[in-house]
Amino acid sequence: MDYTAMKRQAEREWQWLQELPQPLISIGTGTCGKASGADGVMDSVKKTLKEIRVLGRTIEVGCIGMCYLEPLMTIRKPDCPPILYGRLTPEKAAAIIKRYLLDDDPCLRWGVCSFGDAPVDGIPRFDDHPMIKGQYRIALRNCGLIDPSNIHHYMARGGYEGLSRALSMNGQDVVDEVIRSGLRGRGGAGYPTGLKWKFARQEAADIKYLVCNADEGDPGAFMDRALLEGDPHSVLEGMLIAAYAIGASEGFVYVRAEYPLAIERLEKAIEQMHRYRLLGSKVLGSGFAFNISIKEGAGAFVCGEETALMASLQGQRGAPRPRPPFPAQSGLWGKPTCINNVETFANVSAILANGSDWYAKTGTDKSRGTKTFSLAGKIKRTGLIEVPMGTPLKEIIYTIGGGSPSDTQIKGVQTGGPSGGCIPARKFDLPVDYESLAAAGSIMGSGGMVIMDQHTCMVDVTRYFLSFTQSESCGKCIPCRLGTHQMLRILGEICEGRGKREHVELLENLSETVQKGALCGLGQTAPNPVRTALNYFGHEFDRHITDGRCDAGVCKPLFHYEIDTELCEGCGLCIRKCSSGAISGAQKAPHVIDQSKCTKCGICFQSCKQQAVVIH
Amino acid sequence: MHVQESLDTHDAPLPQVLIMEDEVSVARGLGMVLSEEGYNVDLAMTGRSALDSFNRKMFDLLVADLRLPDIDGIEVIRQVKRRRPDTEVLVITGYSTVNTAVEAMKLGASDYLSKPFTQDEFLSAVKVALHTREFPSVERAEPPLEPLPEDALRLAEAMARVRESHAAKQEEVIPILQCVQNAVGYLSPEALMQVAEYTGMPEAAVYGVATFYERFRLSPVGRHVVKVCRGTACHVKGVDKILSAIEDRYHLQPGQTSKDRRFTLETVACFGACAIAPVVVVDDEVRANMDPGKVGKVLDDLAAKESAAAPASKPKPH
Repeated sequence: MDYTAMKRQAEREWQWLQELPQPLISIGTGTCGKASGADGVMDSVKKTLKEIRVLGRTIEVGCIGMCYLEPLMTIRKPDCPPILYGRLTPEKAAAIIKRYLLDDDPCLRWGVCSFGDAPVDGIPRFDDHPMIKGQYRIALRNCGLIDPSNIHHYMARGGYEGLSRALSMNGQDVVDEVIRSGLRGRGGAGYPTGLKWKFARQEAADIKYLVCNADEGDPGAFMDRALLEGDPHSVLEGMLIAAYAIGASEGFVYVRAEYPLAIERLEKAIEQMHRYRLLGSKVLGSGFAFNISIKEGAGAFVCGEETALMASLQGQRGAPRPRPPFPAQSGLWGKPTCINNVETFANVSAILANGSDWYAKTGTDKSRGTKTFSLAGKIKRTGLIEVPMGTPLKEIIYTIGGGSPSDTQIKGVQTGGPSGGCIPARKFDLPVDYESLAAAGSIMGSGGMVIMDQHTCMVDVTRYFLSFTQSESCGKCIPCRLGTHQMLRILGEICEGRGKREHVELLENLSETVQKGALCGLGQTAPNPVRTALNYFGHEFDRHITDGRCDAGVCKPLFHYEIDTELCEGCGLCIRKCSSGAISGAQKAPHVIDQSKCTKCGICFQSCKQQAVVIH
Repeated sequence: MHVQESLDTHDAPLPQVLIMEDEVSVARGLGMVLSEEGYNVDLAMTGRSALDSFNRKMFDLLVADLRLPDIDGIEVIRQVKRRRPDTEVLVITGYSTVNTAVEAMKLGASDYLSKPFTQDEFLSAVKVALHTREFPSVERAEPPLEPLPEDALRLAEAMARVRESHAAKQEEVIPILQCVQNAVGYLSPEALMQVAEYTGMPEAAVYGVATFYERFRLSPVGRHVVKVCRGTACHVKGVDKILSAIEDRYHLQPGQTSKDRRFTLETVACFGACAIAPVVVVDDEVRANMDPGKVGKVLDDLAAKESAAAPASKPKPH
């Protein structure tokens, strides 16, 4: 079957689904959804449909990005705009199904938004929802809208059009098209994708390899997982296009073993591609041959670094090696190898389908297109978003993310994981692009954003990142192995209340040494969290060292909890919650904390309704 | 060079000692003795200045004279112990009576020296006092679990599957090790040897791979594996408190298994479920928005379910 015939068939199926004379219920079953109980909701929906004898169809979709509302369900009644419901439980889902389908009560108080152009009173349209409004979705174009395990859904929405167009061009023209689009690597460093391809294409070799780096190791980032779970074909199509452009015949997806669902969806997608002749010796009937296999990682952050990743693919310890030679010249088994990130590939398939001019219209001069981010930490609307490059941080955090979830003050945002830095709230006018973030001392990274508030201690967070890089250091080069170790020790001293004035200078010295001396990106960027913290949050280091105080109430030796006798109403909640029996006091009389028993677990602080428990 | 020198002394954190003693000559003398031994010493001549020092700085040990010009030494100890319960206290005094000694010990002082005492007596008392604070956690470390008799059978089955589905090449070693671990639960020395033989790699190289990657374990695990996520979002949202709740409740450190083989506690760098942080994964099922109370309930439920099913249920591998 040729591409046009397949596309026609896919469109017919999609059209049929859209015009289904029965209710269509889609439930988001990505990892976030499942963890929040999506499977239970699905069972309950199916049971209720049977019970009320309504012929409805249920499908599983990927993550739409509103993870804070998981589990999510969309109901489309024939001739009505689809409505998205959030924070479901099996009982709530059953109630909605019954009331909406039988009594025509759409239960809008549980509704989040509606899809399509026709407005529904009381809830916003999807595109007007505050979390969605500022977004522009290219990589996530299908996430949450299609069934990721159904290749027809992907094709009906323009899938594999990019590949079909690429195959009608010659490889060099495909490379040029990607260069013109201005796409830069979404894995973090931002190297122009087209250039990388150009170097790999130039090499003459009997075999070339293409690798999709899905070893999303940055703690705090989950864009690649959501993309692979929600729309695997967009990534795989990008791989096919890249392979055709550079002349590769073997492809690998190196994916973290911590993402079992992503692996499952990839396996299914690859099987479908074989069935549709999108892989194999004659891709779409052309002379181009390509195969993809999945390789599971085994839990090593450094394997996100390309030379370490290749060592791991070859069955070795994942230690990086010096470059040059670059993978484009000598990569896997000494052959030319091109490595791109998951999101990069998802952009490639869109670029080839819609053209480089279309893509280059979005974003800034030097950073074209869009970028996905995962919002997590102390923010109201956690989830997955995609915005044009150059969007200011404050729009992402306050408008899309909705600001702080409680009445606490947002202190800063951590971007780029352990290789990045923390940008303080006063710099939130900063546009998000590769250059601006680097100038602020952080990096774009793969797109994790963790929001910190006044209850986050920056010294502790810095120590956290150093403990991460220190334990993930492969140990091959000395600056990284020993430098991170010593920096971690110093930060530990400061958190334990043994900090000294000279520690700050020592940290600065060490940061410079490690950055200049380390072999690979992991070590070179490991000091970034330290440097930005000292730069923007130096006063917190001062408080720890000079005054022996942790105002955030995180570093245990440097604070204690006390009960404000004026505010305490003597309700006894903290006494009941305290697991170490440290709080005492009669009813309606102010309670007291016995400091010798207090383990500073903070449960009293979190649970007190009068906010009478204070950090001292 | 400057950096290197400072680093060397940094390797062992120096204990911080505060000497609270109103007689200047005694205070200086004791200070000198401790400084020579490598301790960091601060002096306080009055009770108030001692409390001030505690406000500014953390000390590992307070050497306290009980007779002071301003506040009673016992009162200082009481306040210090209330604010910084993990500070050790060593009492020295010229007028030793049983009553004050008992009171000081009740407040948590670790020892009591009556003047006059020798330099050696003093040093050894200081060492003992500081020693007690360093060791309590070590006792908890348990020996690794013994392999189960059925492990050998499971390994044989796993290796049979490996021979069917994986080529005998080095590039397959990580998937092979994963396959074996999924079947047996861990990688025994025997398993590593068989994988080495099959792939044609040196045993040391297989061991090198198995020890490099976080996911591989070399000792047996319990029936349920509880993995706590250490990602940034989970950290910011207080996963440490969840981890210590599990540690305290089951007396387990990450990497350890409970004696009844019910739970193995592990930590993972990040599960990538940051929007629903903090997360704990129990037997590969991700649990969202955890807190110390919820995680306790999850584990209790698991235990209850297990004992309800069959008192002598057979362990399952993971």
